[in-house]
Amino acid sequence: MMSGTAVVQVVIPFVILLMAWLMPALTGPTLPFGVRTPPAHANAPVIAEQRRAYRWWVGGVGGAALAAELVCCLVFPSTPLFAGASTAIAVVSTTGYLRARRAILTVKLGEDWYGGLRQVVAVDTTLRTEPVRYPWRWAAPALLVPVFSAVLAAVEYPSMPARLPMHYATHGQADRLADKSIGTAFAPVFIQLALTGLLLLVTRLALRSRAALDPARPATSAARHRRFVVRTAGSVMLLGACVNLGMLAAAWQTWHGNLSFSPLPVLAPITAGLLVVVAIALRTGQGGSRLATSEPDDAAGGPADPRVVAPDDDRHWRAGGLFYLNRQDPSLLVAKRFGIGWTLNFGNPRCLLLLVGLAVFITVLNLIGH
Amino acid sequence: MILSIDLSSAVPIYQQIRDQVVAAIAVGELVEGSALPSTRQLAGDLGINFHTVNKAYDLLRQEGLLRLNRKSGAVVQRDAHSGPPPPGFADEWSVRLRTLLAEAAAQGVDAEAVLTMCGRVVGSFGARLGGRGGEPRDGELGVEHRGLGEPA
Repeated sequence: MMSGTAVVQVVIPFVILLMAWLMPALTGPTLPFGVRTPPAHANAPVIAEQRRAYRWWVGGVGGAALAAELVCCLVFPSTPLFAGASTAIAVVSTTGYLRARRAILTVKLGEDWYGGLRQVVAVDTTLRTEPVRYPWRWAAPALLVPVFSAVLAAVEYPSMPARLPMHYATHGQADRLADKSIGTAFAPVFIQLALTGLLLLVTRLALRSRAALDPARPATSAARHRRFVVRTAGSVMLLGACVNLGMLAAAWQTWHGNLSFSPLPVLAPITAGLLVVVAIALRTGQGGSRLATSEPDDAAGGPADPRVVAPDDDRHWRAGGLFYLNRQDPSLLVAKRFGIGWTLNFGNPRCLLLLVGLAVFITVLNLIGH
Repeated sequence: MILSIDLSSAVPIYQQIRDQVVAAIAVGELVEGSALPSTRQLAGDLGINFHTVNKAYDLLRQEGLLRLNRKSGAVVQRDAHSGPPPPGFADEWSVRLRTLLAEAAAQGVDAEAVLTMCGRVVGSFGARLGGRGGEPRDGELGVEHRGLGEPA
C-alpha cells in the first residue's frame, strides 16, 4: 500500500518524466527543440536524429532516476518528502533539450535554411472581432468546489474542536494549532477562492493571447488555435477544480481536529487532475498541432506557397531559447516553444507588474496560512 | 479577414495593412459595419509597434473607409454598396492609376493585355459582390483607358 508521501515521490516525477519524454511530439513540426525551422526542413535528418537521441537520454537517465526514487520509497518508507527525482528529471530533460537545440541550430545556420524564403506574419482579425467565448462550463467545477466547501464549513462550524491544526510537519504531525474562529475555520475556503480567482484571470489572459498562425495555412491554423485555447484553458480549470478538491480534503481533516495528517485524499484528486491535463495535452498539442483539421486552406486560394514561412524569431528567445524577450512586441503572453501553453514576454513592462503582483499574492497567501 | 504582413518587404508595414484592408473591402470580405481589431490588439498580434498600425488605420480613416472609435475599436465605414465615392476621389485616384498604367506601357505591355488584366481584376471584385459593383467600375476604366492611349 502506497502512502500519500509515496504518491508525491513517485507519481509527480513520473508525470514530469512522461511530459518531458512526450514534449518533442507535442510542440509542432516547425519548432523542434525551440528552433524555428521552415516547413521544408521539418524532416531534416538532424531533427529526427536529435529527437531520437533526446528520447533515449530522457527515457534512460530520467527513468533511472525515477526507478532509484521508487526503490528509495520501498526500502525507506518513512523518509520525509524529498523532491530528488523531480529535480533530477528536470535537469536531465533540460540538458537533453539544450544539446538537441544546439545541434539543430548549427545545421540550420550552416545550411542557411531561411535563404530565399519570404517571412510573413499572418493574423486572422476574426480571432479579435469574434473572440473565443470564455468557457464558463469548464470553469464551473473550479467555482463550485469553494462554494461547496464554504457551505460545508458553515455546517461543520458548531461541531469543530476549540483548537484547529493550522500546519503539519513533514511527517504529517500537527505542529501548530490556533483557536477556532471564522478566520481560521474558513481559511482554506479563502485560499481556494483566491486561487480560483487567479486561475480565471490567467486563463482569460491566455484566451486573449496571440495566435501563432502558419502564414501558408492561416485559416486552418486559426481554427486550430480556437480549439487549442479552449481545451488548454479547460484542462487548467479542471486541474484547478481538482486542486480545490484536494484542499477541501485537507480542510476536512483540520475541521475535525486530526492531529496526524493523511495526505492521500489530498493528493489523489490533484494527481488525477494532472493526468487529465497530460491526456488533453497529448490529444491537442501546442497551438493545436495535433488536432485534426477539417477545412483545408486550398479551397480559399489554391495550394499554399512553400516559400511563405513564419518569421525566424530565434533571436528573441534568450538563454537557450527558454525566455522570450522582445521590447518591440506589445504582447504580454506568447506561446511557449518547448512546452504546452504560454510564457511571458520579459521585454514587456507589464511583465514586471505581473511578477510583482504574483509575489504579493503569494505573500498574502502565506500570511493567511499563518 | 486574414492579414499577411511581409516583415522583410520593401513596402512599409503600414502600407501593407492599408492595402489589404482596402482589398478585403473591395472583394466583399469586409462590409460596412464590419469590425477590425483595435490598434493595440492588431499590433500585439503582428508583434509590431502600435504606432505602425495607428498610421495604417489613420490612412483608412482619411479615405473614409474606416471609423475609429475609442471604445469599439475600428469599424468599416463604407463598401461598394454604400453609394457613390466621396467628391474628389476620382481625380486623386486617376492620378495614381495613370502612374500604374504608365508603368505597364513603359515596360511594353500592350494596351489589349492591360485591359484584359484590368477586366480580370475588376471582375474578381464583382464576382464576390454578386455583379452589382462591376458595371460602374468598368465605365470608369473605359475613361482611363483613353488616357492611356496617349503615352503609348
